[in-house]
Amino acid sequence: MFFNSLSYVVFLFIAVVACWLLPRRWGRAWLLLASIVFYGFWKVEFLVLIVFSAFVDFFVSLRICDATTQRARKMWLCTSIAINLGLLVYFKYTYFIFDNIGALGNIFGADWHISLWKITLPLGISFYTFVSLSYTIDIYRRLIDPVRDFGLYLTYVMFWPHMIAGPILRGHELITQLKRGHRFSIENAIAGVKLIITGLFLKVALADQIAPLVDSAFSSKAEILGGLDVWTMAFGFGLQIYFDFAGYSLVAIGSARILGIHFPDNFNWPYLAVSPRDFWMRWHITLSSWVRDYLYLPLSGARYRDRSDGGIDVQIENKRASKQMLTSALFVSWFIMGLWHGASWNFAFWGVWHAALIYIYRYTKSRLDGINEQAASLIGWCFTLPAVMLAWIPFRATTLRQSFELLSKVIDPKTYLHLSFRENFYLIVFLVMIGMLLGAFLVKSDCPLLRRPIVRRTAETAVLGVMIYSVFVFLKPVSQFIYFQF
Amino acid sequence: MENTQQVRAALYVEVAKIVLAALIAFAALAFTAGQRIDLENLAKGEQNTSRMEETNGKPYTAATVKEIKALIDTLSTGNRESACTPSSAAVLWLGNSQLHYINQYKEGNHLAPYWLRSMWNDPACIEPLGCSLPNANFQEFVILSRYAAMQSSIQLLIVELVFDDLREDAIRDDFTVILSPNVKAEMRHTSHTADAIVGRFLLTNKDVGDAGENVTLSGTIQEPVEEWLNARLSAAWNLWASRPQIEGNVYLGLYNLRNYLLGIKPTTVRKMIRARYDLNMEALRDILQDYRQRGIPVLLYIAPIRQDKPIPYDYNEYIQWKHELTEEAQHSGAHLVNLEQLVPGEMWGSYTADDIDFMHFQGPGHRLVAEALLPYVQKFLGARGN
Repeated sequence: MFFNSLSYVVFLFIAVVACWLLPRRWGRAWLLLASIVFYGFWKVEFLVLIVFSAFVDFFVSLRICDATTQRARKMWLCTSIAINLGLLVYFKYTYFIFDNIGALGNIFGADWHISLWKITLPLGISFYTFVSLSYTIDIYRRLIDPVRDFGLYLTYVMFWPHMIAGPILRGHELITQLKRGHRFSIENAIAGVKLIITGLFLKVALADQIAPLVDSAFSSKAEILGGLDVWTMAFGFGLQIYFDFAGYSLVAIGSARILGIHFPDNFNWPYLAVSPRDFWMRWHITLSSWVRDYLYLPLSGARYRDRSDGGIDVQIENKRASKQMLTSALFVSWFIMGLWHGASWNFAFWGVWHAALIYIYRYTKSRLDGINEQAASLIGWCFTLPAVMLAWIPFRATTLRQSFELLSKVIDPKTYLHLSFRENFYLIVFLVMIGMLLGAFLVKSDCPLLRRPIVRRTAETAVLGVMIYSVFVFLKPVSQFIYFQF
Repeated sequence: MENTQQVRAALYVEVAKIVLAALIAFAALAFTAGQRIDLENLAKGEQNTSRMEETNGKPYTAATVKEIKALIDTLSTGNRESACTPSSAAVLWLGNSQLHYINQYKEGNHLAPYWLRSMWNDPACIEPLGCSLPNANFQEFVILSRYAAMQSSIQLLIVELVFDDLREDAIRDDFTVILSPNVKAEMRHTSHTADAIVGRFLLTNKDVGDAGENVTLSGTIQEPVEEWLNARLSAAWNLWASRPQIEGNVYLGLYNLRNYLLGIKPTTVRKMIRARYDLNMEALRDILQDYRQRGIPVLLYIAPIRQDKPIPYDYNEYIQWKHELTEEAQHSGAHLVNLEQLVPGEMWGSYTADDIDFMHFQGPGHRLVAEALLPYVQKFLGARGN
């Protein structure tokens, strides 16, 4: 089911009210039933897959816990990883692998193309695979005890607010809350409703309105575009995907919050980041924390963490890792993270781009030592924002070739002399960017006038009013959330 | 105790904020819904009337993609009886809203295709199919001309050329009804340009299915549920039913705000957008080449534009465009007629200082266009029925 729909509003209302009214012992079963209905609204047949995947991890986690030797524990862990990644690779990467085999055949003058049957990508498979993987790995690491109630475990994996596109939660973060049960709380209800309204506003009133302009721009031929056009496309898509995904995350967090379940934040004003490292502590925080704990730190030989917040933090105590290990871990992690976003070399390129940004940052940050902190932040922001925005070009382009064609415009000063889009596109991207920065200033400002309760409350009420108005007008499932395709 | 009271007070404030915000929002929604603006009229200008011509109850002009498809399909399915022997000559006439709007409509006014037909010796022997879309760009013409050529036997193609339409490059979603999988596949084989146009359409309409439906929900259980809920809520609550109207009003408000802040008026000079211009000219070249290969003559005409006021184009760009058109026509063997000065000032709409319609003329203007094109049409169609 899509969050940006009337059906979801009705579904949420029924699910939440029933959960509040039902006796505590039935509450969890109700949440599982609601989650099954939520997922089944998309395609009922894939429920079998998600239940199978969950059962494998439930069963394996018990075997890991009960195993008496390290060898047996490792074997069970490998079984879980193989099955989870096997399913992910089959559903998500089969076409990609065979396309590349075909292309490789072309290089050698052979026909290695194979016609494949139709494979439908199950909604949310990338996310629930990561959730499942983290659970078994945490059991293996003895960070948590396995759940011995399959219903509870299935509710953890399938809990609808996080199942399709995150936030990616660890077992100990959600399972304990699910065990505790839920009661009506006006504080949670208010906070949840506000988050949902804000999330829907970002999706339907901002992301969905920018999307047609960005789609049209990216469908233009690269040869007729200029440098400014490419920058506008990069910023336009950067804003679109931010509003889209942050909006989704807020609806997810808000929906859970109404039920009294707290999710960690997934976004924290990422375009205010003052360094590439800072960006990944603000953007898709639960994913970058996952990559940190299950990829980057193990690959670099350092100790893992077990929290889905903090994002990727390269300044973690890492005395056991050599510089070389850190660098290779960084690039390998980001390469995999790129491919996780989509089965295309574009995404791998995007991942490596970010790894390169972090790498450059590591070796240049000392240059800013001794400079006034605010000035250093400003300089950092001025470099980080365009670098991060430009990285969206390969992320959004349809082929690697298109990515390079577009990026080549940015470094060619001659192409800056003409504009290729209607004036509205430049104007809207500029105004939305300024609006976002202004919003951040107003929210974060310490200005005494803005801190006065009456001013703050009036402003909040007015903003909430505008958001309710916009959601009412624009709410319709015209497009799915971008991250659904991952 | 005091702490509990503070918490409770803070909660009341939070609840009050949401309730107040909702009240403000719904008051604003009710107000906006009450602003009944005829968006269709607004788009075409208050003085213009959209008209459709027909013979024996069957239309031969169309102004939406769906109507155009139906019109072209009647030729291929043999639904048009003709009193002409062996058959009437089908003329595909592509244009923008100038072709189907009449400024200050009066009884007896007709569109140019009507006059062309009536000026023919035996009107039954010519089928001037007026296919026009507001702000139609040449890439859309590629799809229409290809579809018509695939579906039926066209004897002549007339294309109205409007400089302003070269600023457009979106292929509207409605083209889904024409771009069936077969048509798409066939178009993608005919030329690189047609392939690129279909490719761009697919990229920008990835949420639209072959039947024109939104594929986001297509095939899911949520689709019928969403439709049912929307229908029930619309029936029970006027405000919900008014959402499309409110949405239109919001866009209109933003459009007016932009124009006000930036001082944009109908007379403001609209610069050429190089990338779009190139795409559209490439599309025109593609049409000319395709019809040449098919052996179908093409008659191009530069559309009349209001001459009693300074035209809202960059003069040099406009001159350059006309020059380029002449070269293209010569190169492809098409015939180009310049009708920009054909319609005198008094045949256009009335105007105020800030509101001038440069595109749509009155009824007699349509007759002038048909008269001006008639000799060329006669030349291309020869003695058929004339």
